[in-house]
Amino acid sequence: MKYSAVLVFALVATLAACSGAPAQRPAAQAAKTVTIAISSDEGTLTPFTNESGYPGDNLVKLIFDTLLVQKGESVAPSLATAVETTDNKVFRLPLRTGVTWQDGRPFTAADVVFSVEFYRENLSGDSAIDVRPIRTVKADGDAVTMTLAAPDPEFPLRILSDMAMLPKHLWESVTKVNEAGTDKAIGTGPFRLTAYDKERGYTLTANPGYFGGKPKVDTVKVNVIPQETTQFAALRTGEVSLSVRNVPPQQRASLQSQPNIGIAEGTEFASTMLQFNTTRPPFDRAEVRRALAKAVDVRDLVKTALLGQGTPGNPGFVHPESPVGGPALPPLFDVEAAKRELDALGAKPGPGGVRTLDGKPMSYELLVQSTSTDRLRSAELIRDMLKNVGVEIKVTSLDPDSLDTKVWPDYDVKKGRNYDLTMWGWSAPVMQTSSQIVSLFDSDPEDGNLNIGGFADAGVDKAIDELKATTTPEKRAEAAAALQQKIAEQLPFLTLYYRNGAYAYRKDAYAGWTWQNGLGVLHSGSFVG
Amino acid sequence: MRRILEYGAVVVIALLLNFLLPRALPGGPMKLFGSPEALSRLTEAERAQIAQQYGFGRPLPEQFADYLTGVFTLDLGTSLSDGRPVAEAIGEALPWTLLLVGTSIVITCVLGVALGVLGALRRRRGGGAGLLGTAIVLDSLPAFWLGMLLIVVFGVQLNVLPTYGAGTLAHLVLPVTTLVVTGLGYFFLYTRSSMLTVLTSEPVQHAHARGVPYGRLVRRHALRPALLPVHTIVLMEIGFLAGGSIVIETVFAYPGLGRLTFGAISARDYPLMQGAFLVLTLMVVAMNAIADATYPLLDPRARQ
Amino acid sequence: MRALGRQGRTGLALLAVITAAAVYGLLLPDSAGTARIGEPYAPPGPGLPLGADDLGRSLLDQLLVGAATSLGLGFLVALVVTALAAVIGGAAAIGPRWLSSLIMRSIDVMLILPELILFILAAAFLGQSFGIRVAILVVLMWPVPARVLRAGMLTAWSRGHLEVARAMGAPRWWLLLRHGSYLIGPLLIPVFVRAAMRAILYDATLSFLGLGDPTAPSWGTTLYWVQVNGVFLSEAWVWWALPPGLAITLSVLALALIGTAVEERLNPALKEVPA
Repeated sequence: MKYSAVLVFALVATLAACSGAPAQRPAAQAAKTVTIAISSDEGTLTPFTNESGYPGDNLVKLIFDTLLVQKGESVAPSLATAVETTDNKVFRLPLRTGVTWQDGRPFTAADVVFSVEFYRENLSGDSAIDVRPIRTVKADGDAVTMTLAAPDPEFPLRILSDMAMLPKHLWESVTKVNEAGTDKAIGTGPFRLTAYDKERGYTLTANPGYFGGKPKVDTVKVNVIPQETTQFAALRTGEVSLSVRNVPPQQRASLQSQPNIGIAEGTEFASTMLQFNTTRPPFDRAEVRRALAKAVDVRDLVKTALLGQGTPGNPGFVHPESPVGGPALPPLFDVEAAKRELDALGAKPGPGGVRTLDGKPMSYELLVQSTSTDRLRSAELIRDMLKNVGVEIKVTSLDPDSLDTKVWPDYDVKKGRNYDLTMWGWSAPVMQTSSQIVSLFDSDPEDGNLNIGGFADAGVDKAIDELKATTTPEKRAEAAAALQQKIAEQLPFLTLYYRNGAYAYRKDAYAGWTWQNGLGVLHSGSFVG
Repeated sequence: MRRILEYGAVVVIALLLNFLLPRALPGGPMKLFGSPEALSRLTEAERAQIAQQYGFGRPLPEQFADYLTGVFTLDLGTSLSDGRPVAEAIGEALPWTLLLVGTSIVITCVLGVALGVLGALRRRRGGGAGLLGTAIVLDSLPAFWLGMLLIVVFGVQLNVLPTYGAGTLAHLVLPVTTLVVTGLGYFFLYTRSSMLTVLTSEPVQHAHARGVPYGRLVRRHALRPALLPVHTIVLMEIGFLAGGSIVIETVFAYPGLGRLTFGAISARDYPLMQGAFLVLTLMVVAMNAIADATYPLLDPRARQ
Repeated sequence: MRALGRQGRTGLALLAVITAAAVYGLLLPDSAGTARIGEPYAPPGPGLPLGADDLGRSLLDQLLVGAATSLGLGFLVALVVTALAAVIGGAAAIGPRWLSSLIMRSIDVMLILPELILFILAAAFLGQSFGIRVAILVVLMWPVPARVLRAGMLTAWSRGHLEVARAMGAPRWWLLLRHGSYLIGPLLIPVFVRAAMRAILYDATLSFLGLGDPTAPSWGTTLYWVQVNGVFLSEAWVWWALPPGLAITLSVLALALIGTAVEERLNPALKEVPA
């Protein structure tokens, strides 16, 4: 009798495992309603109140437009119809005419000037943009002229295609931007925010007067489903039409085998790296970092932890398809070389096969975010790889906030750091432009605001200064390639891989998702045109 | 009077801890004001200004005084993550949680206690042993595990019930089932054990020796004392669950207090955390007070 | 042995097998369960009786090594919690009034503390070693059983013959030693079983919420990776998901069987209960 319950358990599990085969339905090119599952609440969907870069910023940009939009590796017109510049310092932007805000008021050059000034005053907010490089902004008729402090060929991509335009008449009275309500979520974009509450999530309704054409979807519902498994279950039942979670490589095959589920995939610029604390011996020596890096097989990480769904890391950091460009450098992996170099450093194997360097055993702690499964697995693999060359690693998993507190206290590199090694990742925007990339390496904490390892090298600083002095796209790409070469030699961190993007959607609900590098599928291009 | 003072002390200590613990967590609400990349560009002064403007940068005693005043004037402040009044956020989530928890507790309690009594009375027969085994096995299932299983079976494979959200009766079925199944074992085991203890006690044994018929013996002499300790755990369970079941609400994307709390903890939203913990504190204290106050009423002998 | 009856013997045998597996797991070399010896997702085959996980590591080894962690954790926590709850609950029941109030109100405060926060704090500032996990679980778990045991003790204490003995001037501690053990004993068993079980489940749940240590081997950790890999939607659930689930269930079942048997043994009067 007692064991009957065990049998029930097994029976339920069997039921769970066997699957029915739903019929395949045609792919939908337009839809009345599309339901998107996100993982956590995103506040009121204004540029100052969304909670995350992805997908929060993507949702905000369905309501608010930018002057330009990213298209391929370059930019395309949006609220501005062109970019006119001769020196990459003064930019004249003719504005589209006849555009109205979603409350009916006309969109004018005054709104653009207001937006820039407003972002200058209010620096906080996930989609708030750093406009400090813009020295002046002037309206003349239906055009706007922005003058930069220094020439920057990447300005259109980095700032103009990211800065959401705010309606002056609604925002000029706002003083506490973080408390802006849904009444301030009025833009010129393809969708209007028509309902928001925590129970039913968000309802976005198509803006019929959108200048880019009427959206192909009438209503976009956005629901919060924290648990990954639940999101994919709801996708299988059709309760959800798109999950914003990157499909874990392990679940890809089983999702793809479902008749009505499609997977939109493409390159993503988010990076994963093994970060050294270069202020703590022995990681302050480039030779040690190089020797350790040669023991790590990034191809194996991609093959095993990502099941091939990623690109092995370029030791020079930059993704081969990033707009920054430059030749991808070959992987460093070479176990024998790693052993030779460690020997040459005088690190002789001691008891238990662990080497001793400068009188101390080469035994270090590697921190990893307990919520990131691919990083957990990679950390375990790196531990085994380094063991092969006589370096002992203790993997410590921490919740992301605790880890940040050790690695990047208060998100301010001036506050120091307390770790040996950590798994780390940068979001896609960091990879987009070389002016962002240099902030990873600059030894001056003001300019190197993302230099979390405290890395300092005169040669690299010089390469950065040369890059910043360039004024044309061609010269800048050349300087970026030279910088990458330096980074691959110095290795303040070892770039491990870039995960591919793979997003699962219901083909029968809506199949119009289009991929844009740097944005994924959740952008206005998926609904218009 | 003394009792009121005691509970007053508990509430004050709890309020203090509810205020201090969130602030002891690694990290802080600054991350609500931009991506790490964006925040890293802010100067010390700019950060300080934001912290000051939204309150979490002011001196701790000042913040605590504000919090205490707020508790008594029912103004719980403004959530740092979405700018809504905390009371409004809690007011929206609480009814959903009470619906889920209330339904589950009633079913769990009635089923668990009835089966527990039955299990004790029939412990020598096959049925009793089977009940015991089933209860133990069900009780040993992790709640999140069972929840996932139910989603896969009834949502995905059979496609008869919604997998997430709230709003209709159908949405309640899976989360309630999970809560009932995983909570049943405790009530069953406890009631059974308590019942067995009472059945062996002297008054019951004497009554048995006097020839009191079995049915009457159980009803008159055993049931009431056996259910006394059960009464305590039922009330305590209500107190806890009113705070929402974080695991269940997360798995089923159910819009209750548990999820609100978990979200507030992850976001380091101090005012929202304080508000959610306040609700939990008040519920637990109230239920404990009720348990303590009603105990002597139910068991005259415990009045010393 | 015989005195435990058929149920108890079954439970003991089951527990012996699981404990033996755990001890065997302890004796395995450090590389067991962490060495990549097969293809990722390999089904059961020679050398891999339960197949391999997503990194190609033996699932059987992980089950055995996990048995040591999970069972050890469960037992240790349950032992300390039960002892602590008995002492504190007992003191609250028969101690002087001020002590009783102090204990009861401290329990209230403990119950109110948001436990998730305590976990994050402990993990961040104390680390996640085995000892610390045990300590945190004990700190979180003792109040409920202590309250329950106090209630039981109060009932027992007010029984007729004890009241008579007290009225005749018998010291409290003597009464406690003489009679307390069999009055409280049966109540301790469900407390112990429950605590052992909850400790194992808690560990798994924390991993699930991203607050555990998904690199430390335990049954809960395996279940976490089962979920990450979507194993339930594939045929691998038979060799990957079922064994740790069954292991948890069987351990608890064994404990419970022994528990009920000991209950009867401790309380001979049960035999005379009309049934």
